[in-house]
Amino acid sequence: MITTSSKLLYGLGAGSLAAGFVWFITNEGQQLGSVMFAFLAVAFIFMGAIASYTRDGHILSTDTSAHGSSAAAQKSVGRSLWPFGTAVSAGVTVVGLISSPGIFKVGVALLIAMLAEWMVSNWAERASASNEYNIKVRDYIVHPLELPIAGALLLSVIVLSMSRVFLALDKSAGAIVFAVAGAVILFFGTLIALRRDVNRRVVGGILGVVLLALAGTGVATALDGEREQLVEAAEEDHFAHRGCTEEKEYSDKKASRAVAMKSSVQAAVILSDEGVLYAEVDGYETAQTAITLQRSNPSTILFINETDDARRMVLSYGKVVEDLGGGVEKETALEACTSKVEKGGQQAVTVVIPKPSSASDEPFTITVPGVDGAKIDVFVP
Amino acid sequence: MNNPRRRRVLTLAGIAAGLLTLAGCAKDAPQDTWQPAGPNAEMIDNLQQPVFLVAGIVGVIVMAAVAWAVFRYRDRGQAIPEQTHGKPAIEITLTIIPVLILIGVAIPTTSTIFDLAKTDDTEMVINVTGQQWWWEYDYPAIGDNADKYGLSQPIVTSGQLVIPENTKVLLRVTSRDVIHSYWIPKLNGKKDGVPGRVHLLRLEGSKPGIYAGQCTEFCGLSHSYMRMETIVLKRADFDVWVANQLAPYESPAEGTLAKEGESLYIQQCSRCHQVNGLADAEGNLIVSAPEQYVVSGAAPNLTNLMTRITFAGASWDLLTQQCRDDVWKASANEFGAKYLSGVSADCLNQKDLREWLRNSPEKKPMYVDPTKLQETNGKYRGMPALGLTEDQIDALVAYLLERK
Amino acid sequence: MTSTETHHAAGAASSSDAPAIAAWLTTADHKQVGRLFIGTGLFGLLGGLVLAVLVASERIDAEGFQLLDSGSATQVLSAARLLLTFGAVAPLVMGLAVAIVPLQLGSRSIAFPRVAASGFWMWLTGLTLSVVAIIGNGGPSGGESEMVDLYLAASVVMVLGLAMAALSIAVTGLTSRTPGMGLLRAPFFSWSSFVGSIALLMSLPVFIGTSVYLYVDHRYARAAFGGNFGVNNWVGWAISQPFTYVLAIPILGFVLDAVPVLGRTRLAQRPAANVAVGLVSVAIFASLTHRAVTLPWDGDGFFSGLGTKIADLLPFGLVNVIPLLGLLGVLGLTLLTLKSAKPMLAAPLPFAVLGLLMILLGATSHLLYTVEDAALGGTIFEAGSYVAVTFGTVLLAFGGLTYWGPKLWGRRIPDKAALPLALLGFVATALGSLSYMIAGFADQPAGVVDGFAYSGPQELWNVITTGAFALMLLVSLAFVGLAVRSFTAGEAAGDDPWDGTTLEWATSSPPPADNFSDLIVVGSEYPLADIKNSGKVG
Repeated sequence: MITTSSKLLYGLGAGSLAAGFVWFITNEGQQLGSVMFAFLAVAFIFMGAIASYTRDGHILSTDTSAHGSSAAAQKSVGRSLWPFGTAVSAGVTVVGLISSPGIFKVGVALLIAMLAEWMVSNWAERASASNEYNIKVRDYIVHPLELPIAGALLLSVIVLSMSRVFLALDKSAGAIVFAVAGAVILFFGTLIALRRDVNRRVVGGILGVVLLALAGTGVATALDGEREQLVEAAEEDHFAHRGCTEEKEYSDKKASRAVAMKSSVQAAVILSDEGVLYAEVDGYETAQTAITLQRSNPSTILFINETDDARRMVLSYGKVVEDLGGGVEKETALEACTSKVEKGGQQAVTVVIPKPSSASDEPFTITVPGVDGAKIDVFVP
Repeated sequence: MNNPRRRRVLTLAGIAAGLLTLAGCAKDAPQDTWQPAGPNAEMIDNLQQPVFLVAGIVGVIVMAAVAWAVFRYRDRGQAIPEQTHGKPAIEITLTIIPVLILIGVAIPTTSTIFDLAKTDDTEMVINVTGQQWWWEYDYPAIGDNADKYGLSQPIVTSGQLVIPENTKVLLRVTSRDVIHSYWIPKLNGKKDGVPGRVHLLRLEGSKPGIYAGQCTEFCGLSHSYMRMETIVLKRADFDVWVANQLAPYESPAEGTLAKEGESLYIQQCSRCHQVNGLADAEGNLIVSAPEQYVVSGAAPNLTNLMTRITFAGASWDLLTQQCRDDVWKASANEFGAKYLSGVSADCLNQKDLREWLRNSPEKKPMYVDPTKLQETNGKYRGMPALGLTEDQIDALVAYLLERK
Repeated sequence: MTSTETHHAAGAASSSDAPAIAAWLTTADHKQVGRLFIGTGLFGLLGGLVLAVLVASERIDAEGFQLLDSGSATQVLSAARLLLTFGAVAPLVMGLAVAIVPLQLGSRSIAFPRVAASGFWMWLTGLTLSVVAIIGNGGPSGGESEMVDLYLAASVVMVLGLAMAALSIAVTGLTSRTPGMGLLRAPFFSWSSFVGSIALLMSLPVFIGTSVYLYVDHRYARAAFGGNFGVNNWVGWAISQPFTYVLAIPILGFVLDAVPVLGRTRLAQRPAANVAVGLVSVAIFASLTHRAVTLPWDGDGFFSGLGTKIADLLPFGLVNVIPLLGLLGVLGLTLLTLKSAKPMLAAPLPFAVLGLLMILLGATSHLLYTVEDAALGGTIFEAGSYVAVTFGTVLLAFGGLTYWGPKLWGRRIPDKAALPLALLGFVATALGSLSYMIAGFADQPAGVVDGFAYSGPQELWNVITTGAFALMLLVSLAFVGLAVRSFTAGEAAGDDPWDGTTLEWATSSPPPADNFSDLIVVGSEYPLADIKNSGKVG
């Protein structure tokens, strides 16, 4: 049936076809335009067919039984945040596109979340005639996703903010501040809990203000940076003082990475309380004064200091000579060191030795600076 | 049973089961855990024989009971018998009996595990390092190795682990890349080589000979080509072997094909493969640098290649079939001399060695395609094809033949 | 006087328990979405006009004092057109359509109300980011690479939003008419909004696709599309004739609806009006081919090279003449109607007639522009056509607001104040466009603001244009002021201030949340007149 709108659409479709032909004839060698018009014609004719099929969505005035179900009779849908959210997410995505992949990913995730929420709420609103039931149905579907994510976001704000504050405050000051803060929270929490008929809004408002304050402090401290000691320790790589040079005050002297790293080592090198250096090696029953490490194999050596002084283990494995040109050579000693380990402490070092010890002029050794005669030979076959 | 198709299936199943059973009777089975050739393997064998017996008897009883029940109470249209719930006497009995059996099995099992883990009477320590797809052995020149076995310098070899007879050898097993597992079934159980960890495994051979094994932890493309052999030598023969391994390098005579091969080796092979004592024209010792080319950072040391009778992860023989049989089937007394004679020019398995030199990745699948090495920063897993000419291969073979 | 049982308490539509801002952000009520479009569109209009005045004033002294450096001239030109076309004309027209079409069709809601709402926010987000990008030295010919990227990506979002709103309107026109209202019985504003939305739905995706190509090309290769300097070559059609007609299509229905009502008569030849509006939508053909179809008209004598001439004439006629015929048809029918009219003194009427005249001026002059023998290519003549069409559309939109504004916020815009604005706006448009056209004849180049010279009083033409643009800015400011004042202080409109014949006047002003409490089954093109005549309304 040729309806009014299908007349328009078929007409435009026919016009597109005609334009395509004209284009084809008048623009030799530029058939792209004709293709475009052909597609346009297909689109128009398709839409025209839909209009024909639905008879323009026309409902006869005499067909009273259809009036109630007609599109015009349907009430408008209720409010929804998701259309706005979708648009904002699109904006975030676009900004991310040109600024940083992180923002882009957040934008895409938001976009997907907003569209999903939109879809689910649209679906739920049509679940039944009862609005209350529809909300319940929606919540059943979405809450298992929404609540954990919202909770995780809230928690991450709290955790991130608190950790920023902790990292910025001095070690001891941090403990005091948070002890006091905890006490204050407990005090006011108790006060609120003891009162009857507390207004939910008041409690919510207080929590909101506290959260905002916490987040604000977190952002402020994050911008301000970590405390000086941590900055310095970070320069020391937090774990090991690799440079074998003079140590800064605040490097982490007890760090030795993972427990797993220490569970099965090539050798444990021990500086006894009498200042004697020896190695314990799996497979050997007695203390060793020489160890063998496989070439090119990442080998972990654990250093244990039993003396009263803070000591460091140094594994020297030759040197590399760089030819800088013009007869100038630069020598770099190959060394691996622990940071200074205090009494009873231990620290592991993993080293990969690429060349055999026989190829080096100097022997490979493990020594402890400041302890005379403390030496273990290292062989790399 | 009248269905011909069903009958055919049953017949085939019967034949397959029979063949499987017969396969257990293989005579020449070098990797047979039922033929122990050392005290550790015997301990395991002494445990598994009775356990197998007990398990077999229990298995037969259970199967027979099931078969009897299936036949006796098959559906003949009879009424369903009265359904009861629980018979405490039977349940308790049938719980206690297995518990007792398991306790009976657990006691010797636990004691065997502890016996196998004993290391305090170790006489020799050898480091075993797995990498894709071969095993490296290095004999540290410290402790008893140096004092009692004459190891003034460390020895590095690969593929074939040589140990003295009736000696408690302790392997310190580790890996340079992924997890591998060391297993010589006739000598002991298996032990994983895990990167960053050292695992201990005791080996002891009570009879001279070759004991084969293979990597038993899937480790990548050529896992099936990662084999190993342990050679047990009489103590005197072992001393000869050590002395030979430590002998100084002898450069081929000037003007020979082998000398050509040496310079070719220096150009093409010495980047990765170490030959101890090899020096360039100016007399500087050449140190290989496999860490620059190979993911694991290691390549087999070829100083004494021709004292080993296999190559490329012990996957191919360096000996022709006849010479190989001669060594493998030698009696315990003759074995040492035959093994120590190594690979002679007449016995050299030219075919496999040349194929290997011509195009190694074709013989043993390895990740050496330069277009696909981005993930490893351009480093190989295995040995790439070097594009050698036949003349160059001739020269290299001549040079390698002198590495004894 | 026409109060029916459809009444709710006035203002019920917008009152709810949600806070005001949340109410705006979450609304799915088409009237509110329409108001949002219109309100922001008025802002965009003022911004665009300020830039237009700036650019025009730069042209006065082609050699000397310059506010803008030559590099940013293209950007400011583009920004002015972006704001006028996509920041003012499009939202004003679409906003009116979103707000009014469902009311005219007797529908309780627009189709896909949330899509329409999201469309508004998308458009606003995209437009804002586009403007930010241009300010950050992006946009066409921009120097900041990332900002050019942002401009391209943001314009996709902006146009996507418009397409979403167009989708809602098109589907509403097709499916949400009250029982008995065939499409031919639909009011003309609804019909033209339907036609215009279909045309937009067919052409805006091309803009989106091209912009995506441009974005990818500009960001990664700059090989195929000419990078930042190629932007206007590829999507410039969206801010030029004849695409500007497409944006004007919906508002043509305002003329066809309002003139008979205000003239206290009926429109002659209704089906002809439907056809005329449909013909204008052929203008999308030119947009989609990405290039101006011109008429070379080679050869000396009329009969020499006739085949070539026909080959030239066919696409020219199809793309440039047919839309103009449609516009002429609308004008003709309007004039025909006015002949028998007893017009009331109401501001929408002059807005309608004068605005339509200006669009016709633009379209006719554009026809001339595309005839190559006129030698106008590359001259500022094109800007004259643009100004006529765009300002003409703005005048029509002002007319639409004075006509339907009472329905939207319940109060009238005072006629006495609005009437002079219509005349002043007409003067501003005519002066602004005609002086550019004259300058075009004298070969003032397009797209530049300095470094040109031609015989004739070149400063005079540009001074006139600047003055005209400034006048248009003042008119717009005054109109916005009037409109804002009428929100609160104007004369209460009543439900049917113009004695209308269509259904939007059958509900209260402003309408309740669901527009009509009961469906109104219609039996003719003038349902409200039928109701009044049958005496059912009292």
